[in-house]
Amino acid sequence: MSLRLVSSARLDASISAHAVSGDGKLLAVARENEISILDRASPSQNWTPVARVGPCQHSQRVSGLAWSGSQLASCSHDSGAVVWTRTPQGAWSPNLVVTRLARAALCVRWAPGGAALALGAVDGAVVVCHRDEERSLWAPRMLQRGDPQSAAAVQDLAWHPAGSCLASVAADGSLRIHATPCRVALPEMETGTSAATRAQHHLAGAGAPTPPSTTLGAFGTLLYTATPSPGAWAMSVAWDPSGSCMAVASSCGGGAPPRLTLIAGLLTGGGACTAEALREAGTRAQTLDLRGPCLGLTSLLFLTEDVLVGAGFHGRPLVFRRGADGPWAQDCDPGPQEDAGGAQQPAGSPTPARPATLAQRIRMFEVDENRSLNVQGRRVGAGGGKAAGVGPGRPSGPARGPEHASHIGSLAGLAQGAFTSAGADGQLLLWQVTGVR
Amino acid sequence: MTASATRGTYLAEVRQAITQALCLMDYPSPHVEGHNKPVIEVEGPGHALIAAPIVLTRGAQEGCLVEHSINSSRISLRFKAQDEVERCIIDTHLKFLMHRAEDLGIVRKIPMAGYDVTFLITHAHLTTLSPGLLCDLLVTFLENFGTEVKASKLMLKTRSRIAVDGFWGTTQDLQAGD
Repeated sequence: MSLRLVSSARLDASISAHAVSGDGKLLAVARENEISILDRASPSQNWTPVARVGPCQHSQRVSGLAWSGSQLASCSHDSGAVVWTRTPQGAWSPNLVVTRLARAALCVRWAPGGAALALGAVDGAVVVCHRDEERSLWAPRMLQRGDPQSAAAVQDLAWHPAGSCLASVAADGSLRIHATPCRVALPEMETGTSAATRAQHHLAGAGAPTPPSTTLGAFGTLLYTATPSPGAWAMSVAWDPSGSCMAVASSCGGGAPPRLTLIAGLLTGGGACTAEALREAGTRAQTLDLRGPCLGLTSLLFLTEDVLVGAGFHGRPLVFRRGADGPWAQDCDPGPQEDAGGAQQPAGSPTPARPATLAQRIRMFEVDENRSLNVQGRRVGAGGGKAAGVGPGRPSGPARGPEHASHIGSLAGLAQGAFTSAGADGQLLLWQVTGVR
Repeated sequence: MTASATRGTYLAEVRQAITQALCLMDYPSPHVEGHNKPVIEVEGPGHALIAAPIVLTRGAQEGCLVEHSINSSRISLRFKAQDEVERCIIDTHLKFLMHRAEDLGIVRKIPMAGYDVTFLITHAHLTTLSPGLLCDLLVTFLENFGTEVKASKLMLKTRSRIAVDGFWGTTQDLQAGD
C-alpha cells in the first residue's frame, strides 16, 4: 500500500478549512472569511468555481466547513455559524444558526443524516443545533458549557455513525463522549449484517423511528471521559465508518511526543455504542508513537474500517492500517527523507548560494503573492516533483517533494481511497492510497 | 570532541527544537471575544497550553531558549563575546534589528531577560512564511552571526588603525614643518 499524489492546486491565500460533499461533486474552500464553492459533474472532471459566499455573514476567519448532502455548514471565529443551501436558481442562500456561543467557534460537524449540527468553541462549549422549521433557523441546545479559564478549547468533534453520541477532544488533552439520542433511526436489519452495512444505512437516513435508547441516557449525558495522552494537546478525533473504532490524535505539546490513540471494540453485540462498551474499550486502547519526521497530527480521516489517514505539521499525510489480527500500524514511507538541516535535499543537489543583500534574504522566506486561482490543477508525475505554483519569487533552492510546505489544516475523503488535503500554504492536494477497496 | 563538532551538535539541537516550536495552530483568545493573542505572551509559565521551555547552552555565554505554546513561540538567543568591543558590536547590531521589529515581523522589540535577541513567531506569520524556511533562517542567523561580529570587529580595528596612522602622519608633518 502506498500514498500517491494525484494532482495539486494552489490558491492565493492560506486555506483555513475545506470540505468535500459525500458524493464528491461539491468542494468548499475557506480563505479567511470567504468561502469558495466548486462543483463538478463527475469524479473524473475537475472542479469549477460556482460561487463565493461568506464575507457578509462571517466577519472573521472561517474555521470549519462541513457538508451534508447539498447543505454546507460553516463556522467562524466570530462565534457564528451559517448553513448554506442551494436554491433552484443555483444561488447559495444562508440560513441563520443561533449558536449561543460566547467565543470563537473552532469546528463544525453534521450529524449523520443532516438532522443536527454540532459546534465546538474555544472556551470549551459544545452546542448541538436542530432545525426549527417554524422560525426557519437552527436552534441551539447546549451540550457542554464553556469555561474561558480552563484550557479546554474544543479542537475537534466527531459524531458516531449512528448519531447516538458525539465525541469531542480539547486542547487540554481530554476526550469526552456525550450522549446525543438522534432522530435518525436504526433500520431493521437481518441478523448477521455487518457493522459497516448497518452504518451505511444510518448515513443514508433510511429506516423506522428510533426505539428509546435507555442505555445512553438523556441528551448531554457524559458517557466517557479520558486523557489518551497525558501532557499532550488532543487535536483530532474520528470514528470509523462502522462506529466500532475511534482514533484520537495528540500533538507534541507539553513535551510529550506526538501520539495516535485507537480505541476499538466500541459496539456491543446489538450494534449500539453504550457507556459500558466505551469504558471497557477505553482500558484496551492502543497507543502509537508516530515514527519518522512527524511533528504531530491535527486531522484524522478514516478511509475504510481498516485504513486511517492522519495529517498535521508534517507536510505529508500518514497512513495507518489495521492488520488482520487487530493492531494498528503506521504504513507507507514518511515522504522524502529530510537531512539534519530539516530541509529536503534531493540526492546530490548543491547547497544554494546565500543571497547577498538583506532584501534578498527577507524575500526568500516569503511566499510568492502573485499566484492565481488554478483550481484545474495539474497532474503530477508518479515520481513527484515540484509543487504546483512555485513562483518567480521563491529561491532556487532544493525542490520540495509532493507535499505541503506548511501545516495541513484539514482532510476530506473521497471514494475509493482518495482524499484531499489543504494547508496553510494555500495548496489543495489530491491523494490516492493504493490498495484500498 | 572538537569545537566544530560541538558547534555542529549545538546547531542541530537548536534546529530540532525550533522545528518543534514552529508547530503552531490558530487559537483565538478564550478570554476576549474577537481577539487572537499569542498565548506565550499572554499566559504565564505553567499554563496548560504552554510547553516546558527548552534551554540549550554551548559554554557559559552562548545559549538558546525555546518557548512553545499552541499558537506562538519565542526563540531567544545569547551570543558569546570575547571582549567589550565584541559585546558593543553585538548590542549595536541587535538594537538595529529590534528597532525595526515592526518591519521584520518576527523580531521581538525587547529580548527576554538574560538573552540578546528574541524572535516571537505566531501562527499568523506561518500563513505567509514557510516553517521549514523560517527554521533555516533562524539557524543560519545563529550560525553566521558570530562570523559577522568578528568581521565587524576586524573592520573596526582596521579603520581605527587608518585613523590613528592618518592623525599621527599629520602630526609628524606639522612637527617637520616647524
